[in-house]
Amino acid sequence: MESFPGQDVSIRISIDSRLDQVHMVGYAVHGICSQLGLGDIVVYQLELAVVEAVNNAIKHAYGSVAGHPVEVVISVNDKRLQFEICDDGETLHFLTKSTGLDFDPRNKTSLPEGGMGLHIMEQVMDDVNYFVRDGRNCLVLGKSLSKRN
Amino acid sequence: MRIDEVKMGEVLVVKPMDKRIDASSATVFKAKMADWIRGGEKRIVLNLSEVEFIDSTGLGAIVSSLKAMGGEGDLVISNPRETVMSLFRLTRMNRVFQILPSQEEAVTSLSKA
Repeated sequence: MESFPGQDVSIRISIDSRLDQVHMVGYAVHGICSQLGLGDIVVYQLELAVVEAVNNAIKHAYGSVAGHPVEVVISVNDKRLQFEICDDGETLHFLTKSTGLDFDPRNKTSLPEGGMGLHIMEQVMDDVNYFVRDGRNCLVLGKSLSKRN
Repeated sequence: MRIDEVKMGEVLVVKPMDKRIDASSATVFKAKMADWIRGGEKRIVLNLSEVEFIDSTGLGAIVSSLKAMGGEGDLVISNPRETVMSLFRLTRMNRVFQILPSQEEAVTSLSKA
């Protein structure tokens, strides 16, 4: 298990705004998180949360148009793991509103086929913050490592 | 996306052989499922034994397949890994789908339906 006493380590990844490149971000998140002593399910869910964020940037901020950058910065120290996902596309105001996931499991026609990404991020992470900085949209996903959950 | 298929009595078993059902592959997965359903398949087992990762778009494609079957059919999930199962729990979809540990149990369950 890796530990980072008293220091911050970060890695920066950039992909083009194409859904067929998102798995590369997923592999990076998975690889790093696997070294932190987290369980398989937590590692999976962290990869999932970041993939959801990158998918949102590509599909909604860039309207599924290729040729734009999506940047992911993964930072870790002995207390906290953080993912910052930034794009230069449209600002997604829906990311500032927690909507939950409300449906009747017995009613097939009401089942959601989309709109689950933010709910997943909020369930998995300890904090989710979206803001515009220097004209860029950034979603910051944070997880405390002291809980070791 | 490669999906193996085998008919067991009245039940069609489909088994995605790719490790990921995600936003880049969900459209193809959904189209293949729609073809089977339009072709008259009413009882389908989705064997997820080879799938290591599903995101919400992939899950949405699975939900879409269930909805496309209408009230007449059923889609049962089998062999999910614990990691993939956690996605179903996070989204409460574990309360929507019947999810069984083995393909045999899933086929038996649908055969009785």
